[in-house]
Amino acid sequence: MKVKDLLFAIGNVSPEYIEDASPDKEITVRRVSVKWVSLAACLCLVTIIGILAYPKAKPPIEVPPEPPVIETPTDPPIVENPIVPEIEKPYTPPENTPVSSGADITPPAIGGSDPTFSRKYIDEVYNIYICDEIVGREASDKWVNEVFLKLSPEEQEALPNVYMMIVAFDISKEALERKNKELGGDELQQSTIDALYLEDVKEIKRALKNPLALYYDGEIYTFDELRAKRNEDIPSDVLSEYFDFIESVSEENGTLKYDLELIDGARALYGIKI
Amino acid sequence: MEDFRILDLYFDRNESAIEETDKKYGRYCRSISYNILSSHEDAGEVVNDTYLKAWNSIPPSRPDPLKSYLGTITRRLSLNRYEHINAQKRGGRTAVALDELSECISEGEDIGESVALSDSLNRFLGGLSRDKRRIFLRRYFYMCTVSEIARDFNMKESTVAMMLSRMRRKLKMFLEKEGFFV
Repeated sequence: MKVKDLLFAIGNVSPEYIEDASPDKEITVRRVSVKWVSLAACLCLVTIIGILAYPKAKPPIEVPPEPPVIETPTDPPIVENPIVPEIEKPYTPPENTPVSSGADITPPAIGGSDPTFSRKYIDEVYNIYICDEIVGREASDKWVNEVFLKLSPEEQEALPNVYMMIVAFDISKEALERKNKELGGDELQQSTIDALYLEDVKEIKRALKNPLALYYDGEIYTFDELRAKRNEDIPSDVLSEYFDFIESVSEENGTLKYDLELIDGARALYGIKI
Repeated sequence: MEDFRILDLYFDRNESAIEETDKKYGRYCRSISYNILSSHEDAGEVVNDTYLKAWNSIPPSRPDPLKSYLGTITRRLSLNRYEHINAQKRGGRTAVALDELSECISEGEDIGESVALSDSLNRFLGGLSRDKRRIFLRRYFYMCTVSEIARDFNMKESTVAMMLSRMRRKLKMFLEKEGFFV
């Protein structure tokens, strides 16, 4: 089968579907607004209380397919966002994984303006709709207005939004799984739910990292962040490998002609030769 | 004008059928074609060809709904023209959509326009939620960009991109199950 066969076949699907999807048709979607989605990220502040209250005895859970991850060769000092509490369990960094290997990526469509370059986590964990459904819109609104909105943008992005709500409202894994099932099972993948309940925050961050972001030394960095301002904490060989990875994904997506200037600009910022 | 009145004009072989069709659906057809060809001139020509096809096929056809019938013709003619124009060079949103869709297939022989494949796609789309189906078709039928879809659905671009990525993955598995890559 050729891709054009598929493209033409899509042209012969039910007229009702075509009519229903027409761009000139008004869309009414029950969605969490953009504001809401980003608001959820704020739970950072509440994490302090939440994590303390959160039950620690959970079995080890399988982490979703490993996205590109870079670790320092030696056990790095743990530098956490001040609003994120330290976890009692000592952190053991996983084995070194070069960016270009071990990456199980289904590259999302990327492009010059695509926010996948600016997100730290996978999209699923920005959508707090499922948490809304569990805790109720009123409670969720209150939390967003009184807690989340008072955080800085960096604090809002520090942890996966859904995780913030889980912590703030002490949502159990069972409750999340139940609601996810009720909503058709599409809101969160099981592997995402499992990752949200890992014991170590660093492991949670790593497991839920946007495939196009860089995980290094317990922190996540986005491509947009790295190209906007020089980061002195990350070794240039790590960055070099990361930018190569971004280039390969872009090439695979057929968007390299739009992205190459950005990628080369980032390399130049760090004095990395092409 | 109501669709049935426009169709009556076709059946009466009244040339104002074309004018009324253009008044009601011209913009819709031009947007489909422009999304594929990225050229107003080419899109205008394709839409004229669409009207000619409609004129030649109605009667005996009495399409209902007329809108998607015209949309389907426009899209097919536009893709044909796209293939012709871009035999050597590729570019624009259609090229990106083609690249994305290539994730859903395995290399093999050209199977042409397959009724079985369209039937399978109908089943696949029928299994999606309404919003997802509309997003899928916005991207791969109407060739809207991710940002256009995100704007219309009040979603983040990354969310739309991720939804499309998941749907492509699901489609690939679905088509495999249906035996298309055997």
